[in-house]
Amino acid sequence: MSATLSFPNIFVDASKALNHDEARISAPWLVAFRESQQHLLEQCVLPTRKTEDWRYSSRHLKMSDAIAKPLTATTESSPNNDFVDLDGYLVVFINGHFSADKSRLPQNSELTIKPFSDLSNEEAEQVVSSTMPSGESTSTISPTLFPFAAINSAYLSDGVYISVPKNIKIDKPIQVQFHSEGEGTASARVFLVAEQGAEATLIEEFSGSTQTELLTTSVTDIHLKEQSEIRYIRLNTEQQQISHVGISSVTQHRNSRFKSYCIGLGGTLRRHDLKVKLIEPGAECSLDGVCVTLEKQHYDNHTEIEHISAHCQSEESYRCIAGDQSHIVFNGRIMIHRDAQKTSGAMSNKNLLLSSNAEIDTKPELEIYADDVKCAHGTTIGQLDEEELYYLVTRGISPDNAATMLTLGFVNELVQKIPNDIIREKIEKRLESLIQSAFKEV
Amino acid sequence: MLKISNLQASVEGTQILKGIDLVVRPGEVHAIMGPNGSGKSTLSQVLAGNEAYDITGGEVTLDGKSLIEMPTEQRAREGIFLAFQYPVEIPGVSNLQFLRTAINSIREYNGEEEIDAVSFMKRAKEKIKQVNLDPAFLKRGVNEGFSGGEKKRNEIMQMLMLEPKLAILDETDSGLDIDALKVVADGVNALRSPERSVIMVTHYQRLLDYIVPDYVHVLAKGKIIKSGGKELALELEEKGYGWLGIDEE
Repeated sequence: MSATLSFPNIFVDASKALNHDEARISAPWLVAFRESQQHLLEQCVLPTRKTEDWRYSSRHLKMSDAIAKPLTATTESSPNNDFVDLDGYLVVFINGHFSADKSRLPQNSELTIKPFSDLSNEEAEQVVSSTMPSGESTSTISPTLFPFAAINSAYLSDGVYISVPKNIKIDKPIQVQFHSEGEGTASARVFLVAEQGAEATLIEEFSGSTQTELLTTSVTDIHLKEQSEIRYIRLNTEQQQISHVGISSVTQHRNSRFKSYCIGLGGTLRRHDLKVKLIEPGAECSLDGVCVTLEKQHYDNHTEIEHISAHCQSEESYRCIAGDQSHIVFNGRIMIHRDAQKTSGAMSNKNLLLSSNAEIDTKPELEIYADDVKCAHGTTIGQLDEEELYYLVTRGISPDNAATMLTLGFVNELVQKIPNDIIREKIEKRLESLIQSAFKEV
Repeated sequence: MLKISNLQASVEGTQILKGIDLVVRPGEVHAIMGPNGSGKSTLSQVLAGNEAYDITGGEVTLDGKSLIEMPTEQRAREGIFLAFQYPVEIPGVSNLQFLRTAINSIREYNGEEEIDAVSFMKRAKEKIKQVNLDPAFLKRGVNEGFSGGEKKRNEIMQMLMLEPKLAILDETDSGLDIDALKVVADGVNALRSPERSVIMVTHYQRLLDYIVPDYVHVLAKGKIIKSGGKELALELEEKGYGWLGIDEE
């Protein structure tokens, strides 16, 4: 093939076409932002197996003209049977476009939820400067660090801006749904700022279908100000033919609390990077993750917790299950800076292999420059326990059912922590039918 | 009900059972006693269907059906229950979910409908009280964090829920204090009926004060070397195994 088919050209050229598309009129700031990111994308290189962060996943990156095509602009979609309305605030994007009809935004001023097209200059500036900070500070969603953030920005049609005002506690969940269908690529973007003492639950769901090739990228940029709390549930459970590369970047100020629950099911290529920066004392984060792959699916979890300030706490627990010939990657990095004394960190990653052809690669990375810290990590890879299986079977339970129960039991503790009953039940059902299917064919 | 003829079994190539003959009729309680290493636990595991043991000869039938080739889960559905000497802990699977799946698996096999949630809960609460365990245990993982005694009582609780035809208690009395022993015995006695049978494998005579057996058998070196009535247990208590020509280990 000719040189134009190489990365990043195919994405640069295709995304530039967006700028002249009459059907996609965006706010002027967004057009300017997109163009600046397209220029940056030109300098990005595609990760290869020699790129440490991508060594297990680069071979799943499929580059083609088809996948670089911006998805058709639409706000109409085929019914999404998987969708459960949580009866809270609802923001729906279809192929990267905000659907006002399907969304339910706040009626009062206690909370701001807006599409990017409605942002004031100040709000737009928050989004832009968080991606491209001036001066010496860096951003984890900077395109030079993460090329898929550049692709996301270069194709950005719209996004959602959420601001939870000072001392406001939002009980209803904020549900953001990204639905994609067809052939090409679409960008999902969330910017959330929780002001001092604010509390909210953000739920991100990806859904969709494709007969050909579809790549969704996501960038979620969360800022927690002093004393605020964000609960973040992320469901990366869309149809397996869809490739997804997403990054969630979290910045935490003094005494803030961030709790994440990331549920990932395998696909052609699935990659999620979760990066948390604890920049002021007293900030706490807990990151939970459940990941299941079957057939020839692939899921790559990269997490990074950066303890920049002293007296912060982080806890992390990921449990992964790989069956058939599937592959899961867990890379958990904890970086404790020199000034981050009195840090407490704990990371656990437990893995279950359901077949001898499945693969799980787990790598805890601890980089510690402070001398007065507590930091523990533990990782295990195992199979179902024969004694436990036997015990269940002696009670009349079939071997398939027993294996399903034990496999679900392996992740149950984390699933039970999901702080929304409806979402939790949905995930329980989904996991159950998935795991059942894994053992039915045996 | 249960007929064992010339049963021989080995584990990893070592012959453990060297020709067992035993007949258990409906309603009977049999105690199997013997020193450590005599094959008592092997016999329990072989009857329940543990695949770690190879059956190298003989025949076992339950109500005329051969158990030798019968899968473990089917034996349970046919009415065999083994109370384990060392029950495993299964975090992540709740006792309730476990019991309900077990009951429904057995009911399905017998062509019965699934148990409804209300009667199930009612029965589970009733039975857990019967073995003197905190009803909060129902929601916990199977045996998760249970003490030795609590695990044994949980075995009895499961037995009461599943109402087996043939209950095999594998050293259920070991490690129990007197109160827990009474709870276990009450559970077994509550289950006794003209249709049900019990095999108690035990090292000590103590349990037999509370569950009075119809027959006592002495197992040594893979064979039943003496059988008798309940008075045989007392004789063993008094004289040890030595008088039967067995070296106690």
